[in-house]
Amino acid sequence: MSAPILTFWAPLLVVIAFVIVTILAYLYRNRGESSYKEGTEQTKVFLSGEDEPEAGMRHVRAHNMYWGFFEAMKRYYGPVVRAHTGIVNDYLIWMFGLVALIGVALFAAGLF
Amino acid sequence: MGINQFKRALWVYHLNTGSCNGCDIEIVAALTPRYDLERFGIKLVGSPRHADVLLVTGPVTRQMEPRLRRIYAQTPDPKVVMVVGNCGTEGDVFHESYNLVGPVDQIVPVDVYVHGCPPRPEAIIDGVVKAWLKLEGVAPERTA
Repeated sequence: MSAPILTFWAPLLVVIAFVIVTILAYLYRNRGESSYKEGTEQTKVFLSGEDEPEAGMRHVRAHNMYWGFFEAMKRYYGPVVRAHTGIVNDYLIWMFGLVALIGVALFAAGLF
Repeated sequence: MGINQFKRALWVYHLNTGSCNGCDIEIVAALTPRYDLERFGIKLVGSPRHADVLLVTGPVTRQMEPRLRRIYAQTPDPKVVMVVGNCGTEGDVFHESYNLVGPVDQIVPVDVYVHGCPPRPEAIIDGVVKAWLKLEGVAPERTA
């Protein structure tokens, strides 16, 4: 007896579900308020009346508390801290890059 | 009155600019089962970007002035600004205090004033109805 092509965890089903959910989310988003004026405060993020900070300034700093730790391991932490910019786009680039690298490695090993 | 022309629910964003909370409690009282404003589709929302009405209480302290300006700018058009309480209307006992830059109409244009210290829920509901009528007047595309 052969195995069914589309099982519950089949990747094709996951992709189809992702596409359907994306389309539904896009349609739901289009039903929202459309009269906002572009380039004004109306399209900025609402932070209880506060001004929107720069993208790299939205994280809590803890340098003082862990000073000894950083000092002892600064050769390791230096590049790692520079990589953590606090900007989501940078993290997504890291993620996509690593996924692509793993994919190439798996492909080269004949596992994919 | 012509209020049935407004096809959408009226959503309100409440901003406290230094109020003693008396007016804020009366606004909440207007939403309780005794008065039940929400049966008309009038409800408080958590962001000015979803609101038709900007409801302001308090005499506007110096710290709150830029926040009030920014929140007013973030409210989509057409919008109505409604002031609840004597403090926001003319400063009341805090009039000419060193730390105030209000009342509210010194900072942003105001459409409806509700007097009282604090005003009763009936007065707030009356003010909301006036705001609703004014919004209909400035929003002909929504009444079609």
